[in-house]
Amino acid sequence: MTKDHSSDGNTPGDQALFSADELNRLYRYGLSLTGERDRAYDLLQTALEKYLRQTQAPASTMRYVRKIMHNQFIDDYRQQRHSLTVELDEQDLLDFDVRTLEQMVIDEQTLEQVWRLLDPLERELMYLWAVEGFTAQEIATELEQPRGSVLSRIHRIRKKLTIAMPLHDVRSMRGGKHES
Amino acid sequence: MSRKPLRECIAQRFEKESLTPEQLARLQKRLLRTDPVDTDVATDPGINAGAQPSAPATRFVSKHYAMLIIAAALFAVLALPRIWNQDINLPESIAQEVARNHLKMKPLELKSSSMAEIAHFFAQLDFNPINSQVFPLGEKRLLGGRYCSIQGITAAQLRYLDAQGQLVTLYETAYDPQAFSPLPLTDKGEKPLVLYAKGLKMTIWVEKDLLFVSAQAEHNEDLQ
Repeated sequence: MTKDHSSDGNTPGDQALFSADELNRLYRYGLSLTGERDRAYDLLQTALEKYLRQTQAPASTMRYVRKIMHNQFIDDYRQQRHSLTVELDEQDLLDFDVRTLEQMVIDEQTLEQVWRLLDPLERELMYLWAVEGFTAQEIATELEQPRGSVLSRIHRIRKKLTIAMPLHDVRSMRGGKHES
Repeated sequence: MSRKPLRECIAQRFEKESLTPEQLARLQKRLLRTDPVDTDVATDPGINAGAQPSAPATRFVSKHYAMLIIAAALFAVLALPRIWNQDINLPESIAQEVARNHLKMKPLELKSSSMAEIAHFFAQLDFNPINSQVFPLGEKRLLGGRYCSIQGITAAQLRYLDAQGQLVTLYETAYDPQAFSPLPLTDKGEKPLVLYAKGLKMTIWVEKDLLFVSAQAEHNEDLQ
């Protein structure tokens, strides 16, 4: 699990712009959005081109490039006439947090099934939580969205997990403790 | 099948995925060629909150000169014979890259049939996109453009619609003979190089010190 502390505050002139490890992390982030290796690479390449064209050093290079990738992906996705609106349901804004996901156990095969049910923004959230180690608040800050939107999305992910997971796993999930 | 915590399972799923060595090398090569544009406009100021003032240009440039010198020395010692061989195939490599991008048809960043507007949009390039005298499609068939790259060098991608209703892509970038190998100079009367890649007719030429690459379906011989 990684966070961006090592990259925070880097300016383009301080050192090699991105290490191989950082490029791979950004690629994986792109993969969470696109779900396809070629498209993830294209997205990363496009974002880096945009990053190189900017002249102000961002506070966090990794976050900055992720943001470019996110915005570029949304633009491309919308131009392909898909809809990525977040439907906020007040009922969803209950006491859910990423911690409701912490207690879940899953096998690889079931994860693959669930993964196909997730939309790009849900996969992005799962990536930020599981790989980058972000909390719900950090995800909301990263994506510049209200925390409620993030919680709503977590709730929908949980519903999809519930559908795909074997019954005994669902029982263990329900026994889990929710954040209030 | 063994079950693991969801977080661990997702993390492992992503850890299996990495850039290929070729992709990584291409990106790192591109990042070495950084050439910050002389403009005060950030790509997206909205996501630049908390940004620090620009690093002094001299520091930026000197750092990259140092990196370029090291890279050049390494290439000279270790990979010069390979580079010679690769140069021979460079036009084919350019054709393959452009054909691949043409087939993807990524969304245009600017939709316009005005070359003046297009040139304004591409203000961050270190060259001025122009209408080619060799390329037969004029402004009336221009649809728009987007930023892209050829062999890691930033380029303008222009999209046209030909008389048969087929999309034609034209790439323009500053011509560097060392980066792109010698290519036909139409200003000196040389004929454009025609190659085929992924079933597409690829035409490569240099005009007014700009490299042009067009990609189109084979049957579009009589473009108007």
